[in-house]
Amino acid sequence: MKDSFNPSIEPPKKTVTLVSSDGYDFEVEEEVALESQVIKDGFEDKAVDDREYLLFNVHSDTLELIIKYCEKHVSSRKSISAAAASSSSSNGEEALKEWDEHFISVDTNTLYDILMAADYLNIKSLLDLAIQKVADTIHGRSPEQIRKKFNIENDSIIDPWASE
Amino acid sequence: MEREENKDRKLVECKDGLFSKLPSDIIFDILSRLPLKTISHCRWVSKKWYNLVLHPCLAELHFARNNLLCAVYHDRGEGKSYLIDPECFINFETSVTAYDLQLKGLPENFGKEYRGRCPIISAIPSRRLLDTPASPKNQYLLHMGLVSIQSIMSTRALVITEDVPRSNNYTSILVTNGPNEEENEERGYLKAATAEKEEVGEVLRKKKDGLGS
Repeated sequence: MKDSFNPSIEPPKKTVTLVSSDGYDFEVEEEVALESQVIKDGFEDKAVDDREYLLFNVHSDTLELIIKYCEKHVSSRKSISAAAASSSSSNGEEALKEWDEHFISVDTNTLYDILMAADYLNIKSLLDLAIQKVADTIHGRSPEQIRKKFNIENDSIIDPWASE
Repeated sequence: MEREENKDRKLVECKDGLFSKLPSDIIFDILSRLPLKTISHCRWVSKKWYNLVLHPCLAELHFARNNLLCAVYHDRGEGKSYLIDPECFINFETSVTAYDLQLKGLPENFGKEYRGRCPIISAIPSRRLLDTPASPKNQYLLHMGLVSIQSIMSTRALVITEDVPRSNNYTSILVTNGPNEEENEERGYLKAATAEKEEVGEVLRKKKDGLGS
């Protein structure tokens, strides 16, 4: 009688180390790190045991959020495609959209940090989410309100709307 | 990951002007997602934003993203172009705001493809008042017509010009971004030109709903 195959034993997950600008190590799964196009581009050139990335522009607070976002997106993608394969109905995409909405509802400083980090790491979906959030925040506001909201210094020569 | 000492960071970074430091390409992206009215307001946020709003890159991005729902009024007397919110064609508004987004270079931006000169403006003339945010007291009187949104799928901009200043003869020029679109454009114009005012409004509304769904 041959040994039965045990599906619960999986090969150990490959991990990558991300180092934040303030020197903290974050160990994440390979596929999570690969959400970043920048990491993906240089990935194959690196030796397997030397997969460490120094992210000089990303603070640990922000990196934690970014990793949370990438992990969520990797796992939802899996469950969505699994649901599609078994042709069972799923509202995975809608749930993810809702999650994104909640994720990006942060104060303007954090939003700025996420925006810059997503741009630096080239995570397209996150950059898109953050930019849309800024656009939604600006929508319908007066120049004065925009300046206040985003702490932009008023150096305009003339402002014909100032009196309104 | 022991990061207790970082709790102070937020206080340190809450200083002025974070968003002033955003790279231009990100600001372009943000602005291109906004309606014309808000973009026009955004000019007065800061000098940097002023220059970005008037940059031809933004007009191009805005057209590309909104896949066309933009009209341009070209004033030959002034040699300037203004962006018009296409909503005005649908709602039959009596006044239209023209946004001076400095589109002098528009034809160049769009690959020098002028197509389909159709004098449809005379079809449904309605006197409209245009005022520009750039000079709130300066008002422009002109006739404008309707275009069918049917042609919009393949169109990037509609340019309306007055043949001779104050002659009340207008020519509309479709500026497109790609080849082989003459057919579409022709059909769209003729439809708008022959339909009655209310009918055209209905057609436009339907087209718009159709595009949205």
